[in-house]
Amino acid sequence: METQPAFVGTDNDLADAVLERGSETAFRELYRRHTPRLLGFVTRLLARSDAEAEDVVQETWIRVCKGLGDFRWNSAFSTWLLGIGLNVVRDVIRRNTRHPTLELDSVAPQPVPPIRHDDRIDLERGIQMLPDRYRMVLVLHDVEGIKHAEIARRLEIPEGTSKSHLAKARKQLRASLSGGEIEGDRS
Amino acid sequence: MSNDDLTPREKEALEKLPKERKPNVDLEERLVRSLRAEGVLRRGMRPVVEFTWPRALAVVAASVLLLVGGFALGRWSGPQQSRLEDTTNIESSNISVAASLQRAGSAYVLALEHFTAMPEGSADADEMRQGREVAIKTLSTATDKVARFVPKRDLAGQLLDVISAGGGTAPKDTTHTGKTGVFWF
Repeated sequence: METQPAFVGTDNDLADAVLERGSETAFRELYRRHTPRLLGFVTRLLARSDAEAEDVVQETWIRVCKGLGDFRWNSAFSTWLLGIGLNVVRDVIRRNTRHPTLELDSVAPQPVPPIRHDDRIDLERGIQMLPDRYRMVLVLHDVEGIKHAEIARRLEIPEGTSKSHLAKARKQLRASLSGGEIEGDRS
Repeated sequence: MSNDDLTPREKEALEKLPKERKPNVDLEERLVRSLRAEGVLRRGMRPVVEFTWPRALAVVAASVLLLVGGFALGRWSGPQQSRLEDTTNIESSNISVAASLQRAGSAYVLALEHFTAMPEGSADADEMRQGREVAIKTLSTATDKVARFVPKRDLAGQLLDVISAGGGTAPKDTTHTGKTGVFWF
C-alpha cells in the first residue's frame, strides 16, 4: 500500500486541495480519517457481505469527491459523508428489491459471525437479521442517536412510519435474542 | 416496560456497539485508482507547503546564495576558459607551422633527389653547391622561425642541430663548411 506523508490540515483544507488541485495526498488523508467510521456505519445499515459494504464505501467516496464543490460546510464533513453513505445504502437496497435475482441473492444466507458466547456478537447478529426498513430505522435511532424527524427526512418517510418501524424493530430484536431482552456486552 | 422504550441496559448495549471498522488495505488503492480514472485525482501531486515566515526567509536566503554562488562561479570560470582557448589556439598554430615545415622538408628532400639524379657533368659543380646551399639556408631559416615562435618545442631545436651537424648553415652562421649531409623527415 502506498504510504505518503500525512497532509496536515482541517477537513476543509483537505477537501479544498482535492477539489482545486486533485491532490491525491490530501484525499488519502481525508479517506484515512473518515473511512473506518463510514465503513462501520454502512456495514451495520446494509447487513450484507464485507465486499458489498466496501463497494458502498467506494461509491460513497466517489460521490463525495464529485460533490465537494457543492458542499457548503454548514455541517461537519463526517455528517455529510455519512449522509451520502446512507443514500448509497438505500440505493443498493432499492436495487436489490427491484431485481428479483438480486433479491434472492440478498435473501441468501448472509455472512454469519462465528457463534460465540458474546452478547455483543448476538446483538450484532440480531440487528443484521432484521428486515431492511426496520434495521435502518433502529440503527439510525438507537445506535447513531438520530431523531425521528431527521430519520424521516433522510429516508423520505413520514415521521410516524419511522416510529412504528422502530417499535417493530425493537420487538423483533428482543424476540431474536435468547433472553427476550436486548443485551450487549456486560463486561 | 413498553415495547417502544429501551431499558437503560438495552440503551447502553446499543450505544456501546463499535462505530468504526477497519477497512481492507486494498480498498484505498482501489478507490484512488477509480478517482484517478474519473479525473478527480491527479497522480504525483505534491503536498501543499504551508506558508510560514521562517520557511519564506529560508527560501529567500537560498535564492540569494544561489545567485551569489552562480556569479562567483562565472567570475572564476571565465578567465579559466579564456586561458584554455588561448592554449588551444597556440596548439593549433603549432600544428600549422609543423605542417608547413614538413612540406618544406619534403620539398627539400625532393630537390636533393633531383640533384643526385642529375648526371655527372650536366651541371657545373659550383652551381650544384650553390643550389644546395640555397636549399639548406631556406630550411634553416624556416626552422629558425619555428624555434623563435615556439621556443619550448624541441622539434625546431633538434632540426637546427641536425642541420648544423649535417653541414647546413645556421641562420647566424652562414659560413660554408663544404660538408654534404642528408636530412630525413
